[in-house]
Amino acid sequence: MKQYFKTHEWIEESSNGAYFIGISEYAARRLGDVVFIEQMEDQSTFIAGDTLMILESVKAVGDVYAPFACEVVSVNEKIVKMPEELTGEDWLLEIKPLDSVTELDSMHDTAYEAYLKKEA
Amino acid sequence: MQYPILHELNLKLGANLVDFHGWQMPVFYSSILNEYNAVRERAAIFDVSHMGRFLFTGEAALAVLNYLTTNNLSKLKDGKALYTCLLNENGGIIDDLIIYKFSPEKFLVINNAGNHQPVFDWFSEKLSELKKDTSLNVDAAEVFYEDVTAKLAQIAVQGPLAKALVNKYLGLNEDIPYFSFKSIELKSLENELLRASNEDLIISATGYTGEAGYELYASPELLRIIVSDLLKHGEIVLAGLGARDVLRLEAGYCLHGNDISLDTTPYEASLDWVVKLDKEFIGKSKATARTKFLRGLMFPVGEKVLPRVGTKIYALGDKEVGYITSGTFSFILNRGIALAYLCDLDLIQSIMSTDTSKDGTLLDAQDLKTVSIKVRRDVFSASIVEPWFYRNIKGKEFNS
Repeated sequence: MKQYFKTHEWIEESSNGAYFIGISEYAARRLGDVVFIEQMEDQSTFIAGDTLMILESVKAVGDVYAPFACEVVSVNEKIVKMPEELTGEDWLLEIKPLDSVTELDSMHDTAYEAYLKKEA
Repeated sequence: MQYPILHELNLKLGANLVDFHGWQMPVFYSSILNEYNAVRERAAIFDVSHMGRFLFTGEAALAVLNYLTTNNLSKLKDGKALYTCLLNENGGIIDDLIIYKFSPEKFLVINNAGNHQPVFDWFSEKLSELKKDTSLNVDAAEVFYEDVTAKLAQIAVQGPLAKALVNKYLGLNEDIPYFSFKSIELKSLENELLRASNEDLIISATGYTGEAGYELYASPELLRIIVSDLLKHGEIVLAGLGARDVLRLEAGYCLHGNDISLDTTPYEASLDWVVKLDKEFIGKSKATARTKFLRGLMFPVGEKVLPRVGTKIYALGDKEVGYITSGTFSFILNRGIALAYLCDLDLIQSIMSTDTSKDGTLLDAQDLKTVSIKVRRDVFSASIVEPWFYRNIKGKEFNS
């Protein structure tokens, strides 16, 4: 069950308390063809709001923001190698929270759809 | 808001639309990369009906247009087109134009959508002045000028298969050479629907993608029929402004508003080749002035850098020497590319000069041939090159 954020990321529980994080279909489409993906190689732990990954497309730059303090467990290497294939269904990173995750400002998919309509 | 001729189709196809200088234009239909690949590998259609189209006719048409623009229209043959600049008295570029010469008494001038009104107003103002000023050796009473943008629409079909597909569709037997154009009487064609139209279709071997292809000019209705027919071929797709911008930048074609503007002279923009100093034209005395110089930047192959407009460029470490006016990641070259102005005259001088020291080696050549940009926390180096990167009009050409 995906949880969406106003900054257009989604998270979904993976295993062992970790979460997959990706960007919504709306964000992927708005970004257009991602030309390359930049990972934050100097950083191993992140606080809420930190940039986890940068997606560069011809049109724009999209930051994937950490929804909570976390560390990166794994990266979707397949997408990093073929960033133009990125869709809203693909996970980008698997992140593990550093503290217990409470009160996330996130939405279910229908609430996110409504949020998009309102923003338009 | 103005709508290009394929607007209905754009809506039907769910194209990603954007307000481009007051026109509702498609950025992409499926994706920028798909459409880019279509142009590189097969053929794609661009609706460029948003561009301005002006008809100049009359005995003085040649003299007047030659006085208003930098390139030489008298030497141009009938049935050929050229690229030129429209300058103000300060040598600043009001717009870049393609001019088609039907005869010395008939010209079609194509300008950028974003400058439609300024160019229309400039033409009106200058024609009015020329009619009154007898000291100039131009009899402007004998020239008529009409904005035909609405009634004469324009599409581009570009890519290695473009000309063959269009030739076959129209039943054309002869190839139209690069920068030549023909006016085709449709009533002599095999296609019955086209025959019934009674119109003439202008086909020119021109374009803004750096691939071979045609631009077609006719009424909106006729072009819509042609587009609809061409799209029935599996190989041709519609392409939007996103793909168009990557392609034109790879080819090194300037974009007014980015690489050229009222604040740039043709010589600054490396467009000295369209300035013919053996004739009189508005802005001539200032056209050769240069306080900055447009160059190409090539970033290392495979490096994850996508240079963006406005980014500052540095030489020899931390000396700010200019700025980027257009940038992208070139899909075909697999590297970041950009057009940028170098504003440091000493640096320009050393790049321009081919002086060697007494023993024949270039002085400090390596240091002065690269600049760097900062992107977030990283620094990327680029080679300074002539302002173009890749073209495939008469075979593949790379700026090495």
